Amino acid sequence: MSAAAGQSSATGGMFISRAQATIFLGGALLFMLLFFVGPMLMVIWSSLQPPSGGTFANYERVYNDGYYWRVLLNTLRISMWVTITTFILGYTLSYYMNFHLKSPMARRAIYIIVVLPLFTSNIVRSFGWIVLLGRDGLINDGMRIVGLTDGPVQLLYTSGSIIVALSYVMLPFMVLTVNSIFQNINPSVIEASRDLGAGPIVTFLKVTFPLSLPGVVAGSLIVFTLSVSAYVTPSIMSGGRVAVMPILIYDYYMVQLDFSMGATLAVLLLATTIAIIGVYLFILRRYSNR
Amino acid sequence: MVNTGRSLDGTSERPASIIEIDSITKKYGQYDALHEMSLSIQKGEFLSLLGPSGCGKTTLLRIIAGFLGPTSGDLRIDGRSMRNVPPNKRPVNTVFQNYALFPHMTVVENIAFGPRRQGRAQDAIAADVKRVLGMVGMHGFEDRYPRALSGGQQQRVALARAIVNQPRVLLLDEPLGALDLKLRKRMQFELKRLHGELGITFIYVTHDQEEALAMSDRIAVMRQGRIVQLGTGEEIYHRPNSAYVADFIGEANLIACEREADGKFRLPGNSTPLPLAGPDAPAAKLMIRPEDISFGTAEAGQIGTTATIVQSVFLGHWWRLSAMLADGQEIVICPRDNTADTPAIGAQVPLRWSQQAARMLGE
Amino acid sequence: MDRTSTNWGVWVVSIAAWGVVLFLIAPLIVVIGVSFTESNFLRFPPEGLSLKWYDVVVTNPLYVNAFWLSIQIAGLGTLIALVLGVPACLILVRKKFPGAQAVSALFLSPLILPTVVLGVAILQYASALGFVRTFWALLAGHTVLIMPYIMRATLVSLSEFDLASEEAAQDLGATTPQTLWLVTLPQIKPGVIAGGLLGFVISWINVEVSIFNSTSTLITLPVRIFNQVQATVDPSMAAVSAVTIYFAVICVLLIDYFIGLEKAGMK
Repeated sequence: MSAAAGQSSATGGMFISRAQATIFLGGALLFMLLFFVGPMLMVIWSSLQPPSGGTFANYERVYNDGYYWRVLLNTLRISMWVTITTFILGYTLSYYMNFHLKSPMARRAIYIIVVLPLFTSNIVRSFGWIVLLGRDGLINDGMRIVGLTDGPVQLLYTSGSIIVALSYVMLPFMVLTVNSIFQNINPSVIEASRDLGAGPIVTFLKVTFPLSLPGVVAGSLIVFTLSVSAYVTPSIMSGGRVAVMPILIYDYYMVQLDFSMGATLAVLLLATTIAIIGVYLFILRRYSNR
Repeated sequence: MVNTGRSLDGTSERPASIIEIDSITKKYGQYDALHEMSLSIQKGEFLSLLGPSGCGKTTLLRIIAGFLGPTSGDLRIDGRSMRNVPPNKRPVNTVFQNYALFPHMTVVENIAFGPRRQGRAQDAIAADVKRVLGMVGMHGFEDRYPRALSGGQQQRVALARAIVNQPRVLLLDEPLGALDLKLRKRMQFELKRLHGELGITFIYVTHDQEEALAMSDRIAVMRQGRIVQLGTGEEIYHRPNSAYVADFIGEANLIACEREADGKFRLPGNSTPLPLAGPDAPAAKLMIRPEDISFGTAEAGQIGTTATIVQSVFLGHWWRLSAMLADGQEIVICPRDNTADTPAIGAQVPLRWSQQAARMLGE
Repeated sequence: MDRTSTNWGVWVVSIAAWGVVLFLIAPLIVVIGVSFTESNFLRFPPEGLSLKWYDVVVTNPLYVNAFWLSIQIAGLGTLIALVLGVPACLILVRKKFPGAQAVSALFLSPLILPTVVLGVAILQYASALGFVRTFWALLAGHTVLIMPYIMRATLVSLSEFDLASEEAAQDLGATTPQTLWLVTLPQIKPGVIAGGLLGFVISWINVEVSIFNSTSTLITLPVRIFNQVQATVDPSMAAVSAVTIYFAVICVLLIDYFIGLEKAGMK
C-alpha cells in the first residue's frame, strides 16, 4: 500500500491503508447505524404517528394533561433526593478513603465493596431492600428492639423507599467519580494550606472541597441522569403506587400497547436527559471561565 | 573519517550515492515542513541533519523511513524510487527517539523481530542476535524485559534491533536525547565506532551541534524546511555561509556593519574599510569566532578595532571576556592563552584578528 | 495525614464512612443470608440453615434456561462487540479525519442515554422489520449496550500505548496485520479484556433492554427474577439472587486481576 498516499498520521503509528481503515471502522459504524441510530429514529417517528389526531397529537396530549407533568416532576424530585443522598454518603466515604484511611488493604477492600454492587443486577439490589424494609425486615426489627416504634412501620412502597433503594444503586457511581478527582488533587496543596495556618475544617472548606467540585458536579450529573432513567428500582419499590417516567413508558408499551404514546414519552425522557447534560456542560463552561 | 573531496553543495563526483532526495516538498496545509529539498547522501557516510526543532529534520527522516509521504518530489534509495514502497519493504532501519522497544518482548525477542519477519532460519537468527548483542555490549541481558533496563541499555538494544537486519541505511532520530551528559558522550563514541565497524550509511538527526561535529562526516544544517549549508564539520565551522549557520555551530561574534557610500563595509566606529567581500546588501554581519581574537593593534593581514571590557569570566581552560564596541554591540573574546594578564573591566583595549578567520555574512 | 487535626472530626468522618460501607454491603449480605434459610419466609437473620432453596432454583428449568440465555446473550454480545469495536478504536485513536469526533460520540452515546429508551427502540425497530422478540433482536440490543464499554476501555488502553512501537515493527519489516497481531494487540490486551468483562457483566445484569424484548420462553435471568419478585416472594428469590452475587464477586476479582479495578474506567 502506498506510503505516498499520505496515510500515516501526524502522530505516528503503523501504516493503515484507506481500505483497511474503512473495514476496521466500517463494521462497527454500520452496526451502530443499523441497530442504534435506526431504532432511535424509529422511536421518534413512532411518536409522530398517534392512532388519532394530528402528527403532534401525543405531544399536545402530554403538554395539556397535568398528569404527565406531575409524573415528570415526581421523577425529577426523586432523582434530586437521590443525588443529594448519594452526594452526602458518597463524598463522606470517598473523603475518608482518600484522606484518612491509611491501610492499603482496607482501601482495596472498600473499593471492592463499592464496586461489587455494580456487578449485580439492580433487581437483586432492590430485592435486598425489600427484605430489609419489609414489615418483618431488619430495619423494622431494629427499630422495635431499640424502642423507636411499637409496631411495624410501612417503609416499603413509598417514595422514601424508592429514594433509599435508588440511592443504594447510584452510590458507587458517586464514590468512583469523586474518588478519581480526589486522587488528582496534589497533596502538597493540602500541606501548603496547613503550613499557612489553616486548620483542618478551614482547609477542607477552602481548599479540598473547591478542588473536588468538578468531581462532585460530574458525579451528580451521572447519578441524576441515571435516576431519571431508572425503571427497575422504582418499579419494584413503588408497588404500583408511585409513578416515574420510565414506569409510564413501560405501561404504554407493554400494558396499553400504545407504542406511539410510549414513544412520545421515551422521546421526552431522552430530551430530559439531554437537557440535563446540556445544563451540566453549561455549568462546566461557566465554572472553568471563572 | 571517510575522506572528503566533495564539493560544498554535496553533489558527488563519484557514483556512490545511496540516497537521492530529489526536490522533496512536504506541505501541511499552507505550511511547508520541507521545501524543495534536494540532497545526495553518500554510501557509508555519517551524515547529520542539524537544526532547531521545527526545521524539518525529523520530517525528512520519516519520509526516508516511509512513515510520511512527500507532497511532491522523489526519494530514491540505491537508485530505486521509494514511491509506493511502504516502510516495511525499505532497506532502511530506524533507531527511534524513545527507543520504541516492544515492552511485552524480551531483549532477544525484540532483536529477533526483524530477522523473523524476513523468514530467516532459527539458528541463523540466534547467531545474528548474539553477534549484535556483542557489538553493543549487551551480553547477559537476553531475557530481560525493557522495563528492567536503564535508558542507556534500552538505547543499545534499540540499536541492536535495527542493525541486526543489516540495513543499507541506518536512521537515528535524536537517540541520545534522553541520556545524561556523560552517558551521551560515551554513546557518541560508541556510535562512531559502530559506524566504522559496520560500514553502513548513518543518517543522524540532532539539534545538538557539538554532537553533530563529534560524529559526522558531513553535516546538513537545516532551517525551516531547507538545507542552509552542507559540508564537513570543519567547512561549516570555519566557512559558514550565513549568520544563521555561524551562530548555530559554536559561538560566533556577528557584528552588524554598514556598507558605506564607497561600497565597502566598515566596523562600527571604524573608518578603515573592511577588506572583505560581502553579500549584496546595505548591511551585513562580520563573523569572527571568539577564540580567533587577540589583544593588540592590527598588523598586516589583520583587522583591528577597539572595545571596552564589560565583563570577564574565568572558565578554567580559558577566559571569556565580553566587551562593547563603539556603537554598543557586544563582542566576545576567548583568548587562546589563558595565563596571560587579562585587561581590567572598563579598560579600552585594541582587538585584532586575521582576515582569513573573518567572513561577511548575510542572514 | 496530620497529627494535630481535631480527633473528633476524624472520628465522625470515620464512623460515618464505615456506616456507608455497611450500607453498601447490607442488602447483599441480607440476600445471601436469606438464601440459606430453612423456613419459607424472607427473614434475616435466617431461621435455620439449609441449601434447599438453592436446590429449588437449580432444578427449576425456568431459572436454568434463563441463566443460560443470559450467558449466551452476554457472551455472544461481548464477542461481537469485541470484533467490531476494537478495530474501530484502532482507527479512532490515530486518524484525524473529519467527523472523527462525531463518530466517537456516536459510539459512546449509549453510555449516557436511558437504557429504557434503547429497549423500546429495539422493540419498535424489530417489530417494524419483522424480527421482534427473537433471540437476534435481543442480541442486537445487548450488543449496542456492550459496545461503548468495550470501546471506552480499548481507547483508554490505546492512549497509554506507544504508537512508536508500531512504527518500529513496520520499520523492521512487519506488515500491518503482523504489526497488529504481534505488537499492538498484545500490549492493549489487559485493558481490552477488562473492558470485555465489564461489557459482559453490563449485559448479564441488564433488565431494561431485555424486558421489552422477551417472551415467556425467551427470557433472561434478571427479567425472570424481576417477574418473580412481583409474584411469589419466597426464599427461592434470595437463592437465585445470591447466585448472581457470587457471580459478581468472581467478575470483580477477575477484573481486578487483569488490570486492577482502579483502571477499569467505571462509569
